[in-house]
Amino acid sequence: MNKKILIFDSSTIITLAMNGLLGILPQLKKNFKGSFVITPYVKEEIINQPLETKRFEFEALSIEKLIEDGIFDIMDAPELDKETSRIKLLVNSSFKAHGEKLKIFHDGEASCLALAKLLYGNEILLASDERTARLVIENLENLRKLFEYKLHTVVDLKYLKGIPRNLKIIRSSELCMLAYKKGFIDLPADHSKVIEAILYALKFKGCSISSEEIKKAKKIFERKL
Amino acid sequence: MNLREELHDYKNILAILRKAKNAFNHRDVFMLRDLSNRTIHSASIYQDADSISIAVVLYALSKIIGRHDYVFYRDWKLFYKVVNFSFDKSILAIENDDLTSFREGIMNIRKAEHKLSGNLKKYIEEVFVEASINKASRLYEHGLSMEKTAEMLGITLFELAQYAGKTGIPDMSFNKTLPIEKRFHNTIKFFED
Repeated sequence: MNKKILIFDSSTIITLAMNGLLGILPQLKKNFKGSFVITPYVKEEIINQPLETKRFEFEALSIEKLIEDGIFDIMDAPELDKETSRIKLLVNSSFKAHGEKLKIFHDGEASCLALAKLLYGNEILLASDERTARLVIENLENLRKLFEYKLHTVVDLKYLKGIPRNLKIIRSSELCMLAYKKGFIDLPADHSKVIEAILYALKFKGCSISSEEIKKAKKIFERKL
Repeated sequence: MNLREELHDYKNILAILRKAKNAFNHRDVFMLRDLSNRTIHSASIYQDADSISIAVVLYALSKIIGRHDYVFYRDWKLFYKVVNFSFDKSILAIENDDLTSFREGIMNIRKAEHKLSGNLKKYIEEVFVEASINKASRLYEHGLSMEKTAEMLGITLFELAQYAGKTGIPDMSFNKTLPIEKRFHNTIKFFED
């Protein structure tokens, strides 16, 4: 039987943590018939590394609590390391500038794509606030154009095979929009004002959402809830 | 180790360091910042620690000389001397194909604050941390992932996310993929029974 699995990249959890919005996750999980999962690589980035610095210790501990409470499952599939290395190698050898391969991916995001691939057959969403991972899945050509624009040089792209290209991606923005729709966020303003406030807060803490998208999101909430 | 084999585009780096020394001595903040940005292009492609270090050092120096009041601190002259000496050391090292001395010169600028005391030391330390985060944000802007960038600059993802969020990166047209209405619809559908 197909299971619903929401895989979280570090970026989405970090954005929520830095805005004090981690609390929406237990509420969203409560009536959800599926799992929220992270990989051991993501755990390393969002808990183990920040625990070494005082500045983000609180956020790291708040995230760790969600694991302790069973909100996140850490999924360490037997083949995960191998598939993570394969995807990282694949992505990091796809773009070339001046004959050099552009190494754009690290373990965390590669492990999320690897896990999505290993869980093929289930109903999967990836939560990622990170622009590059999203472009790798949804629009490689745009990523190539971005490199050319920023590097002022020709960038070659070798099309990627073996990447879960049909994977659907959401961000902390859509999770918060849903949480607001369900009444899990209560703020004293009209719907579109609250949505604008939440989405800009997320944007300023790293969520890759444009101002144009925030305008459109406001319109959704102006129409109806 | 042979510098000309190890250092990508060493002629360009030599030109950048010469201009940077001149800009530092003439308090040309914009030139230093521009040179740092140029080095970041190279760092995005080759991802070598040398280009990254130079980009961080030049950006930090641009911030430091942008604050005229620090000239009045007791240790300023010492800092100024260390920076000039280190630039000369790295420039000469490139000319002499000496990789070890080149790296020592750049490292001496990064570690110049160790020779200082009081508020100037504290300020310069902070500027170098901020410079690393700024350059990480620039690499992210160039298309590298946040995680890759944080790893290269030795900063946490939290620091990078906070900084990148204040830039115009998400508003770039290349980032457009799926309409938000569709993404929200996918989210609602996924959470339905």
